[in-house]
Amino acid sequence: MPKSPFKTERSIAQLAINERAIVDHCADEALSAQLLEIGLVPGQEVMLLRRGPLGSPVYLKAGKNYLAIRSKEAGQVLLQA
Amino acid sequence: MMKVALVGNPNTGKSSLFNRLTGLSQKVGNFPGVTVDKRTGEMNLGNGQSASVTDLPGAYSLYPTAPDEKIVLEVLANLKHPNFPDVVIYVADAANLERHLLLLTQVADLGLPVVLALNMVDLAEASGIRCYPDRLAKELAMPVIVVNGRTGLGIDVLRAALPKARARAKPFYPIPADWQALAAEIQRRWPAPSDYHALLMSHHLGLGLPAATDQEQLQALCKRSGLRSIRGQVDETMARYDFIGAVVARSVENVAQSGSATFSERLDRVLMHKVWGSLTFFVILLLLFQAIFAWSKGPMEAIEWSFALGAEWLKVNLPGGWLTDLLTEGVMAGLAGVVVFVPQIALLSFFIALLEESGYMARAVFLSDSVMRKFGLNGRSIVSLISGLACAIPAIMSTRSIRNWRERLITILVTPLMSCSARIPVFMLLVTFVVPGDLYWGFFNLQGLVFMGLYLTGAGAAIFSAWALSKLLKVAGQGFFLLELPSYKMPHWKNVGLTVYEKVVTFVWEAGKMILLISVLLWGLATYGPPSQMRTAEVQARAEAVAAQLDTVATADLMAAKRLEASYAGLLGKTIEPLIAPLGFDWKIGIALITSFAAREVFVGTMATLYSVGSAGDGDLKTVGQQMRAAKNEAGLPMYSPAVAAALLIYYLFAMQCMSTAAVVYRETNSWRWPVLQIVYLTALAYLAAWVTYICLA
Repeated sequence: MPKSPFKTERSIAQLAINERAIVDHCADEALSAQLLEIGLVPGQEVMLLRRGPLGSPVYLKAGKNYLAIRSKEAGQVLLQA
Repeated sequence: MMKVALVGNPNTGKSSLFNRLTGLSQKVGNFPGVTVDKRTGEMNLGNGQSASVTDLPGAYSLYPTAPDEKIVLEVLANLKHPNFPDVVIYVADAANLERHLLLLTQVADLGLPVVLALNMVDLAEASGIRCYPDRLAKELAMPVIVVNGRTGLGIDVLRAALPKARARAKPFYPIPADWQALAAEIQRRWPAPSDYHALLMSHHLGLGLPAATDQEQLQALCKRSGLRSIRGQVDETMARYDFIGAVVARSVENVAQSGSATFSERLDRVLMHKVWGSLTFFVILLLLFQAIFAWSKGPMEAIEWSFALGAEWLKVNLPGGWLTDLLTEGVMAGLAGVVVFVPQIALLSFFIALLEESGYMARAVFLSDSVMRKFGLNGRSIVSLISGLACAIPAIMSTRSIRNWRERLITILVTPLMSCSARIPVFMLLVTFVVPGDLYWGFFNLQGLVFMGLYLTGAGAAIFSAWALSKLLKVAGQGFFLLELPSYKMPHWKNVGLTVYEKVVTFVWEAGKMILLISVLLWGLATYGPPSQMRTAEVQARAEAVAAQLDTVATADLMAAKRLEASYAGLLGKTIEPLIAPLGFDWKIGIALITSFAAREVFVGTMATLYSVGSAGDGDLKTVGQQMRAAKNEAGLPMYSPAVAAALLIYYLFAMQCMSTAAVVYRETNSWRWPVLQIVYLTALAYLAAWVTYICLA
């Protein structure tokens, strides 16, 4: 990602392995509705556990839930600064 | 009789509890109109009365995205549904109530009496999470019972609680003020027992409303309200989570020392590792492959042998005539064609159930998703493609877990290219014409190499077609790839056993009906023909037999061959001869293509009849092979040259000669469009590939 002079929001896709962060919101409403149900909720801590063979999907720990989403979708889940 | 429904998220041990409650009284069927497995059974309530229990598919919420999940909504929010329950048993994982209670609050808000069954309390305690069921019961205002589906703990308490369960007085989630007018209007016009029920009707337009006019009215009503249902869904979920978070904080104690990795996390470091994980997965695939082929061989041969024996016995002991012929050559052959696949399907579903129960399957999906996605498929497609090596029918049924419709459709369309077990007898017969069976350097068998090449070609064609379809198909693929990775568990053998039993029964009934029907139809086509031509054929056969001084067995064989030639199937074979001539095929192969249209393995039996060896249908590979070797074409050269045999092999590798698969595709896609497209593209592919093969080798 090129550095932007403006405030940039990082997404789950940009997390390093074993890095923790707090979920802010999801940019896609339809995706958001489904992520909520499986336990990826705003205000919650997420940790990137590992990435799949070609960088996707990403394996996350969100609260007590262990989830995998594709990196494209992970790019929609923005993190608190 | 009281009706009970089991509801809960996936991976909560719901099935174990269901097995515990119903014992062996359970039945597997389909929900009306859809192909979602429905498991029902009877349970004892402990007071001398019994109740019928339905195990609903696992779901995360009442906003479904997959067909399995949709059933939960349709059963629970439709008063007229035959499985609409009187009481709901909601099964939740005690270690993760924060998420599991979401669907519980939704189900309770529909106005249904709910009993909460807390499962896996022992596992929760081991990881430092202590639940206080009495506090939880007070907070939720419903009975909360600690159960263990594996040991049977709490089952009797649960039984006794069911008849006493009552609906809650107040909803967990009072619908927001701006939705109230719409909900009230919906409730005024249609039966909706609660505000939340009305809200769901507006979201899932037409829920429980069969008439199109009602649906249109509802749609207009929702449009006028100006409310956006997806926004409403997000707001509702967040509000419920706020409430649940507070409840859990007051009734669950978390003494886990955070930071230390769990057993599953440590195991995942290896099993989900880019290199080690992929390698392990590859080894598991090899084992699976080995199981499908090597271990099922014996039982399959035993089944074929006993059916042949049974048919022979019937022939001897029943009076001769068309009815006996129908029974032995139509019905028995059809039945054998179904039952012979039972060992493979049982073994395959055993391994798949093992992988699912242990929690490994989700890891396999994770590892293969990125590669499969390059070809327009999904990580979950790998399961279907592997299953396709045994039989395309259970393989196509297993695509239901793919939430993205486009990826699911592509998986369904390419799965029949995976070389299924029905192709084995055809390959075995034809491969001998392509390469000699001699051993090289003492162990190296060329035929084995050709066999492997055929499997690889089939798999390659599946992957390539998937890629081509992903470029060509104009079908929207809503639905995201969301995968939950459950913690590893020791498989529960009773659950595995029941799953295998279920899969086998479903296969025998669903595929069996179709295969049997078509076998009987084809028997008719091959037995009857235009009367005058059939008579001429018989007279001719008798004359030839006399002239050649044949014995009775040989005369009967010759008669059978001539009759088949004059039958409707024979006429069809001759009609298509010009069409298949470019591939090097003659009318005899034409007949076999037609008779094996419904099921490939029929090819061998037809060849046996045409080349008059033994009695019809008794396909001894060796003798059929010898007869075919002796066959000459019009130029006086061997008919089955390596080029013709190779072209036939390739044809059978690609063509969709399986009506049961077409029937299953119709049911899974709910449209004739896809099975027809599939038959057309696979036949075209087979024809072209066979033509190229023939041209190159001839």
